[in-house]
Formats: sequence, C-alpha cells, structure tokens
Amino acid sequence: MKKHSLILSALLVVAVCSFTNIQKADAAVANLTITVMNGLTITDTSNTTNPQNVAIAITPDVGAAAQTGNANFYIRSNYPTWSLTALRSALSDPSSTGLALTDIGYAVTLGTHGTNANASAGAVAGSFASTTLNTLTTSAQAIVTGSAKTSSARDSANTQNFFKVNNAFTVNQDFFFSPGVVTVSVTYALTAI
Amino acid sequence: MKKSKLNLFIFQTVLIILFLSNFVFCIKTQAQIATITDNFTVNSSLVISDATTEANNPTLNVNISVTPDVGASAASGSANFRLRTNQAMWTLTATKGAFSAGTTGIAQSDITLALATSAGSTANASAGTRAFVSNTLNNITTTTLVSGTAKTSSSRDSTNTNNYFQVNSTYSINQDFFFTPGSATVPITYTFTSP
Repeated sequence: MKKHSLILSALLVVAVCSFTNIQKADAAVANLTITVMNGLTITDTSNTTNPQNVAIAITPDVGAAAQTGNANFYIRSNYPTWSLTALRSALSDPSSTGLALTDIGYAVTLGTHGTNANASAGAVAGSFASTTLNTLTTSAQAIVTGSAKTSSARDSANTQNFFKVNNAFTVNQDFFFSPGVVTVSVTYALTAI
Repeated sequence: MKKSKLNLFIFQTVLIILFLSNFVFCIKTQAQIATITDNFTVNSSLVISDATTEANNPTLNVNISVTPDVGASAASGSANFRLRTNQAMWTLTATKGAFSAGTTGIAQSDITLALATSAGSTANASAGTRAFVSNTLNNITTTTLVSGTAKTSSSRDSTNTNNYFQVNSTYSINQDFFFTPGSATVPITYTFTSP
C-alpha cells in the first residue's frame, strides 16, 4: 500500500522533463560580391578639385625670359583606357593687349608620378607636348591618352597612385603687347574610353 | 432475559458494523483516482537566423560597391546573424568557398572580415566568446568565429524574440584605384553546431 502510494505521488507530483542530447547543426550563407566601379578623378596637386587660376604678369624688357604659368593635375583612373581632354574658351578682349592665341605657348608634359603609379599609363597626344594655345579649340580634344589604369600597386589611401600631367602656359615679354588683361579658360575632362 | 438482551445487543452491534462497513464501501466505490503523467521533453535546438528578417538558415547577399576616389573610406557590407540554442556548448564557424576575382585584381588579402557580437534583452551576452576579431580572407579557410559555453537565453522569453545572441560580420575593402572594374565573389558559410 505504501509503495503504491509513493508511486502514485511520484507520478502526480513530478513532471518528467527529459533532456535529450541530439546533435544538430544549422547553417547560413553570406554570398559576398564586390563590384568595382569605374573611378576617374582629376585634382590639383593638393588632391583637391578646385579650379586653378594661372596668372601670368608680363613686364616687357630687353633680355627678359618668357613668363610661364602652370596648371598641374593629378589623374587617377582604374579604367584601362582613358583620355584627358581639353577645350578652351575664346580669348577675352584680345584687342586691349594685342595678345593672340598664337602668342601663348602651351606645353603638356608628364610630371613625376606617384610612387604607386604606372608611369606608362598614358602619353601626351598629338602636338600638345609643345604648341600654342590656338591648337586647342572650343571643342574637347585629347591631350593625353591613357592605355592602362594609373595604379601600379595597391594604395589604400590613394595618396601615391597619381599620374601627373603638367600644363605650362608661356608668353614672351614683348613690347608689342599693350598694357591690359586678357583671360582664357581651359577646361579639362578625364573620361573613360 | 439477560441472555436475550445480550443477544439483542450483539445482533444490533453486528448490524451497525455491517451498515458502517457498507457505508465505507459505498464511499470507496464512489471515489475514482485519475493519474496523469506529463512528460515534457525538451529537445536540443540550434537556430541561426537573419538578424533583419529572422528567417532561419538564411542566404544573405552582401554586395559591396567600390568606387575609387581620393579620400574615400573603405567600402563595407555586413551579414548579421542571430543565434539561439539551449545547448550548453556550441560553436559558430565560418567556411570560405571558392574565391573568384573576375577582372578586378582583388586578392583575398584585400578583403577584411571583422566580427562583433551583441545580445537581446533576454539573452546571455556571455554565452559566447569571440574566437575571431578581424582578419583578411586569405587567412580564413574554416575558422571558429564564436565559442559558446552556455545556452543563449538568460531568462524566459515565450516568443523567443529577444533571446538571441547576435553575430555581426562585416566585410570591407579599400576603394583603391588599383582595382579594375568588374566583380569579385566568394561565398562564406556559417555553421552553428553543438559538440
């Protein structure tokens, strides 16, 4: 009787919770896709994109060397073919000084590239290595053609993978030119081909 | 006379005893005993779900777009999971699949995986310990990310909404001009097991 009561009590009071150790595994998948987009940047040599003002002052004198002003750019492209184009505006009020576009020398050269840049990434096009400003027209034309991305090595901060393009504007200090100011804008564009 | 009274007394006593015994018998026969045996079986369970949708065994697409630019910070993407288990010991591992660089020039050493953990309000934040903090993919084949030493719940949560142990995995890459346009892909499988 006692035994029976104990069993009953046990059955009534105790709820049996059995913990079964069944090995189980769940899984999830992350499919990582990294898409590299086309990147082209043109900056000044301070790595900023502000336009550059080139001011050239001429004081005619015997034996005076030509006056030069520079606009130098850093170019970066991960595109295998690219082009740096330029177009100019009209010369403002040329009659005031007598300066013509043919009086302004224009030379495109490649500067000292960054240490992680590919120096062979591009070449000066046409006659722009040494010409006069009239060679530039009001329509964009290539002054540098690129045949490779500008980086030669990884550069996580993109500080030393620039391809440098120098633009020099030169005017002789000729007494032919009358006092005054003339201006011309040259617009550069870096595009993927 | 005395004898007859004695006999009557005995007779009456027997009747009373019989009546009472019958009464008790009736009570006994009217009582029923029901026995219910409740067996609550708690099985082992491990669930890995998407931290955003709570979908189980998710396949997440982590898409990172790299647009090289000066001064651009690293591009990143995340795959965040929630773990729930009542097992005392558990492990979360990552297994890297086949890497395809495509035309990008991206190497596995260019991609960094970083791990962070958190926990829901009814979860045990100490249930698991990061065995992995950060590394590049070239150093990952099958790697233990989190080692679990306790069930993930710290208190009751009838709907299992806040008893998750969350693992955030973030993939990042520098937006370097060295990488050429195209796409690189690699699958990472996360396996949640109990030993």
